[in-house]
Amino acid sequence: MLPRPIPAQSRTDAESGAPAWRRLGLIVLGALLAFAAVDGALFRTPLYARVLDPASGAGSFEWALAQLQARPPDPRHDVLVLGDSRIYDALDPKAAGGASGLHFLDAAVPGTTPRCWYFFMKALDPRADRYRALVIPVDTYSDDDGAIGSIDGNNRPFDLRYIVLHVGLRDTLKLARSFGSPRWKATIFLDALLRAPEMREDVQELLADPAARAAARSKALLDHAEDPRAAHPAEGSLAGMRVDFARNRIDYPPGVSPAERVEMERQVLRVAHPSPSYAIYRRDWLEPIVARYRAAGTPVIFVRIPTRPAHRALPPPPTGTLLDFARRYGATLVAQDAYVALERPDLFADHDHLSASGSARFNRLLGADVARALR
Amino acid sequence: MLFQSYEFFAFFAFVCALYYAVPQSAWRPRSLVLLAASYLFYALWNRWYVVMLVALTASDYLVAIGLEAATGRRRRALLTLGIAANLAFLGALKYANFATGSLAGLFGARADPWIVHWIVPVGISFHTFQSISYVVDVYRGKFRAVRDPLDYALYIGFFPQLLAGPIVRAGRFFGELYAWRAPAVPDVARGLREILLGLVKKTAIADQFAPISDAYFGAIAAHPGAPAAWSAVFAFAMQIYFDFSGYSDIAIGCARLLGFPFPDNFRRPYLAWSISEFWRRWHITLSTWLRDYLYIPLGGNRHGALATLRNLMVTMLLGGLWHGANWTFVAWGGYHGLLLAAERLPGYQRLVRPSGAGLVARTALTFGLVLFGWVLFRAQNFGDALAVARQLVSGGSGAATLVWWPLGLVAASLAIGIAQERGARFDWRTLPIPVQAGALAGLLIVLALLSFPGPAATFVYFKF
Repeated sequence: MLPRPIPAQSRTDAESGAPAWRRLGLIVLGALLAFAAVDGALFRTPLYARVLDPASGAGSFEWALAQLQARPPDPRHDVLVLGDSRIYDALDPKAAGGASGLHFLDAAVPGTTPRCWYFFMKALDPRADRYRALVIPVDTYSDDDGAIGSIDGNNRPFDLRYIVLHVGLRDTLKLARSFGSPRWKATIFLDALLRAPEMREDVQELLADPAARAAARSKALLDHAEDPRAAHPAEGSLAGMRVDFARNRIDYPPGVSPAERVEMERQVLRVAHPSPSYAIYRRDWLEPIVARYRAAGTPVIFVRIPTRPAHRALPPPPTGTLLDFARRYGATLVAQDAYVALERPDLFADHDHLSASGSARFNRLLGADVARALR
Repeated sequence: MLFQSYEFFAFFAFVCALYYAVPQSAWRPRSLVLLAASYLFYALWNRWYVVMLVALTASDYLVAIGLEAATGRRRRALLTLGIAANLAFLGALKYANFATGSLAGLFGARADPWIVHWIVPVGISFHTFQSISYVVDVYRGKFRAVRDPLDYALYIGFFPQLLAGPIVRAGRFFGELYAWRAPAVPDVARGLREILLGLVKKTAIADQFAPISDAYFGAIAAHPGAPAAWSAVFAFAMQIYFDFSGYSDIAIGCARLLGFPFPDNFRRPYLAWSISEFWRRWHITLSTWLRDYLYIPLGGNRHGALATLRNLMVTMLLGGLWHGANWTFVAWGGYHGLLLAAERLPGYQRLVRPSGAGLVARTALTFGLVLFGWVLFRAQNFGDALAVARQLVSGGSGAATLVWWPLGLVAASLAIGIAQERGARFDWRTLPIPVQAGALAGLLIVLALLSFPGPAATFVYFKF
């Protein structure tokens, strides 16, 4: 006796005809449309941005953007400085402006990268006419892997956490394509398209404690978080640290944590090598900004900022992508060694952030360099 | 490749497309597609798993054919050989460390030199049980041995249920295979719903509760107080149910889309009003397997009260051991065996279903007993289990660690479950299109917004 078939109650021919398939298709399509409508209402309108956690990636990005958008434009005096936490800590807009008559504005968002700045600038200044100049900080004027993010720049899914509310349909493909592996391309494409998967952590924290979220947002308002004219100098100093590059050895002053020592050695003792992928990354994300501002006649100034408390060698002269930007778009490159004097342990708070005294000197130099470039 | 990953759904979509694209012919390319996909799916975990699976498949295939030709003692010897081969396979790969470690502990010796460091193939407990049931059913003459090795290999390796069931009997599987018809539209709709619902159960409920129980059971002393203990045990109860039933829903849904309607594995077990009832609702394909291939062959309830209790305890202890190579699992099985035995005591109104407040009280009591049993199941060792039990009973005050909104999803699930218990039947086919679309959209929204935001977690039952 062979096994007997199990009767399947729903298998009738009437239920497999074209009308039944059409009905199923309508149900699935309707579900997808309803889902897209809810997703869009939440994350493609300003609705959810109003309740974002101001300390989250998307929250800090939105907060900084909103503060800058709220300022009346002054294209004769406002100089916008992009950046990550190093500029966020180092820049004191009022000190940098000094008596030059320029108003420096801090657009730095800790944790962001040139890929995030591309989306930031598209949202903030779509016509590229809002500012007197745009300052873009870089670690190096050559396309090498000495820069933070230069090794895995295009494979950093965390970027989406910041920019998710500003990736339009057209940019979704560009963003997904920039990732290396097919898995990440697909994941980023879907996450950027739907937005909800990227926002779910924030949504769940909001659901878990709505009162805490309201309090955090009120506090951020009271503290003027992300005020583009405020300074946030870092505390501490590495005074007393000595680096012996010949022996690849660092002597630390007291109080430097083991984790910080690991990071310091990784950053300070590394030898930079050419990075073709970083050149591609810069072309993907910096060139569109430079080209857009060039077309609008707004100067773009690249500044090789102080990046670490000690360097094995002097920074190399401009080559590759940035040199090409200077030649093709007229971008200004402040002298590569302009800030080398600040790369001293006593002027740094940790492996990559300037201390308060380092920041003070940085602001004076930056203000003068930008004023000179705009003269 | 986890069921809740994009990769799995890309893989499944590709397999489905290929499966329905190839025309069925004498050499049955569709079965070949499914078998190749199943072996690829398994090899993506570890390619050696496939070698072991093929060896197990070949052994049982040959034993079953041999059983038909044999008679008398030779036939019985072949049966013993077939079962022993499966158990040896399972024992060597899953329980060798446990056995050598326990023996070493018994004699006060160091366990390390004796321990064999095997890689335990994922899903081994499930497919060895399928193999055993096949050999036994052929021996019992329920059906003839399958002659086509491709069919038999597909039965053992069929990827939707390869890793964690449901444990499908050979009779059912081959019945479906030999009378295969393309799924009708309601089957497709149901399969899609099952997959979606399974994903919601796993990622939006089970994975949300998992960190609470993991944090607690990983450092019990760091979380003093009864509220923390009750939170953790309750969280684990939710985690394991929604994890495993979610997995089962996805497996059943995928199989249904391929034209194989599989049996249900769960039927609202936490609404059971007795432990016996619980086991008729929890991991149904394992419970019925244990009943048919262990409890009844041991004698079942045919030889008096004492023998019945013995058979019950043996079945539950081995059922506990099936879950994992640890004495805590055996104790968990024993705990349930004792509860089942208690329900057979004279005077216990086991057979009469209570109603009204009595039903609520009995259901709550059953859930409490099941909850207490999960302590043994989840604890790493008896010391931990005892510490948790102390905290549950006399842990004093402290803060609960549950988050309200996953509880809201549980409450919604509970409300639907109670309605179904009270006889409500939702016939999706009669609902208007907007209602069906809205319900599906709701599940999609829950999935998108309320899934656990951390890395995808593996299914709990994969390690069994």
